[in-house]
Amino acid sequence: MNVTQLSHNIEEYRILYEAGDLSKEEYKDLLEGLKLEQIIHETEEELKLKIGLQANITTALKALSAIV
Amino acid sequence: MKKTIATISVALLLSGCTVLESLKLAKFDTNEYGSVVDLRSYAQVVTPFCDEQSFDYDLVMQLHMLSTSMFNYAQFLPNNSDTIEMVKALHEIVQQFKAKYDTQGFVSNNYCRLKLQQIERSARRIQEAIGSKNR
Repeated sequence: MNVTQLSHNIEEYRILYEAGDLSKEEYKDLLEGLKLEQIIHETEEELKLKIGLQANITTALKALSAIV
Repeated sequence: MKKTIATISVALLLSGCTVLESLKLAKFDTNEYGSVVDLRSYAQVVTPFCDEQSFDYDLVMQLHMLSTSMFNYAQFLPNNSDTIEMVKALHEIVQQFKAKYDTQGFVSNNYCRLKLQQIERSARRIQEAIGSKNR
């Protein structure tokens, strides 16, 4: 979830809460859910980075093995 | 000279292996991927039911069952810490949803829809991550 999406969701929740279409508990719960979504997003980015890095190292090692 | 090059190459190979070891990742797992797809699809399919007068508790229970099964499957797979962290967070979102229906007499249509959207978005993201793992 990028910052723009996050801001959009927070704004949507705030508007509904202020209009009385979400209770205080529901509003709080949704914001807590966004925090968890943020964790998922950060971990996903990290995992993708690791997958890319692993592929690069494997390729480099293969190239090196061919020389040695 | 040749000896030096060979020694350096072997040293590089070994350090590369050490780095690889620390980057050891579980390979693509069809069942793991499927469990996330099932949860995501279920969240998508039941979202329209939020507009009904009351959201059937059986749907909440089924969603929770799928989420628990997804988390339990991934939980002890080796070299899978990132995926475990993601499915744990998603399972927590589902637990928040279930807890609302367990503890509150009235749950609004908006909360139901927005929470299921959070679950669907999160599952889609995890699906993307798992899908990009090596085969």
